[in-house]
Amino acid sequence: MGSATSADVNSKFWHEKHFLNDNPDVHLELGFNEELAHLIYAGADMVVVPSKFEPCGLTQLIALKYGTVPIVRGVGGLLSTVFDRDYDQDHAPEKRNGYVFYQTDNYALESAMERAIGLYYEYPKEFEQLVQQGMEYDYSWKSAGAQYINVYDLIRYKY
Amino acid sequence: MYVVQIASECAPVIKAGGLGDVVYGLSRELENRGHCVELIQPMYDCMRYDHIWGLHDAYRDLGVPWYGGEIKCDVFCGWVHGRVCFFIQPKSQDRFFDRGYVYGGNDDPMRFAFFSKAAMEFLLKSNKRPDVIHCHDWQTGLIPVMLYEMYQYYGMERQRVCYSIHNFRHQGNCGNEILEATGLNRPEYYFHYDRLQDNFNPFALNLMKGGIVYSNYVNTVSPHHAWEARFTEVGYGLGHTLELHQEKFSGILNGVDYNLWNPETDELIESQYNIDDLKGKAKNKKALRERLLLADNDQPIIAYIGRLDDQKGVNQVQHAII
Repeated sequence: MGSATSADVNSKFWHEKHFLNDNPDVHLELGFNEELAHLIYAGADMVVVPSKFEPCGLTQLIALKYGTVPIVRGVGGLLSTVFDRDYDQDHAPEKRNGYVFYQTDNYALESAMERAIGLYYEYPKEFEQLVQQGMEYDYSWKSAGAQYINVYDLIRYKY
Repeated sequence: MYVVQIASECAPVIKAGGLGDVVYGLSRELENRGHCVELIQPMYDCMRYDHIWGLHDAYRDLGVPWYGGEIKCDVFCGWVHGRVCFFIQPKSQDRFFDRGYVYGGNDDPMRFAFFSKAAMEFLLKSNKRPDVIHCHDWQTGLIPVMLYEMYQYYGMERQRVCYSIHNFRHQGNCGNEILEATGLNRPEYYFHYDRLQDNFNPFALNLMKGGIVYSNYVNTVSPHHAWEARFTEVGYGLGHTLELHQEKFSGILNGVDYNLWNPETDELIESQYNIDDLKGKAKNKKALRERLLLADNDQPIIAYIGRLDDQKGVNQVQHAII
């Protein structure tokens, strides 16, 4: 689901939508629908975020809260919040929460998606474990607020 | 603690990107912790006025010095879902904020330089002396510059500035007319690599650079983006400036509004669920399949939610569908 910002992308996806209209496995929703967004986060198993550039990113944070496994490109805020289940070096296995790929080519995305889908089919128990590990993360304003307070206190008393 | 946030957006009244959500979400969190927070924004004609409660006069005919003369402004005060906001409405034929858009004018640096100047003048003349002034993105990059170079001599000596950068792409490049207009003057002083001079165009000023150089603390919206901005091309030329100011630069991750996005309380989904009981999630999946006319089987559902444009990796979205 999403809305296009340029005319050519828009027409490309409308073409795609007509082409896939009767496909029982795909649905394209063009335009933004807040209510449907909530249902998608709640109902989907995984969410892909293949951004080229993402200072913070909200999609993956909401997905984690809803127990939807994020498959993200390792840029910006995505890399600060999603830790690859198979390859992350800095987090213990029970702290990992999704899948990360780095290159911009399609194979990179495919391989990350394949790893996620593979786990879903072959090891459903472990997939559920991964879902719960993601839901344990707290990305509310509480922790961000605490960090900003630290900054404020630092600059107030520095001089 | 008394904090004033000065920004060009605040959700849900003015929202063009993530900035608006941060301004609102952070203000609420700070207030929940018992701090006093006030917001200052431009009074756009295209705001969502239905989200502002109790709008009333706060300051009539605030004289804001501009190009040696002054522009009179009216300042209004109202509540945006519980947050106190001051809206500045200039009365001049420039019609800075009466244009039906938030950004996109070819004089945007001038519009927001005026807003910054007016916000400082409002603080000064209404005798507000916050402990911390928190400003955001290039639009308010001149706030710390003016505070340090002018307003501290008018009596605002104790104020400290925290500057948050949400997007390095737009930095507010402009010429020396900004200096004349705001009364900073002295182009030979500000056109200096250590101050506001753009790192690539020696004849342009860079407002975001001014914000970085003059603030007491600078942050961007995630730790990894802070690293990227310093060392890769997504800093859009400010990498070296951030390097020089690294001791006051870091990344602080934005928060999510869990009042809105929480599967335990969400009214918009089929069935609420939590971490210990995921059965509700399966019900939502079934509901989603019915809603979107998808086949009823146990394949995984993989979603994409977001703008369809190049930054978000649109061609890979298309590939993922196939």
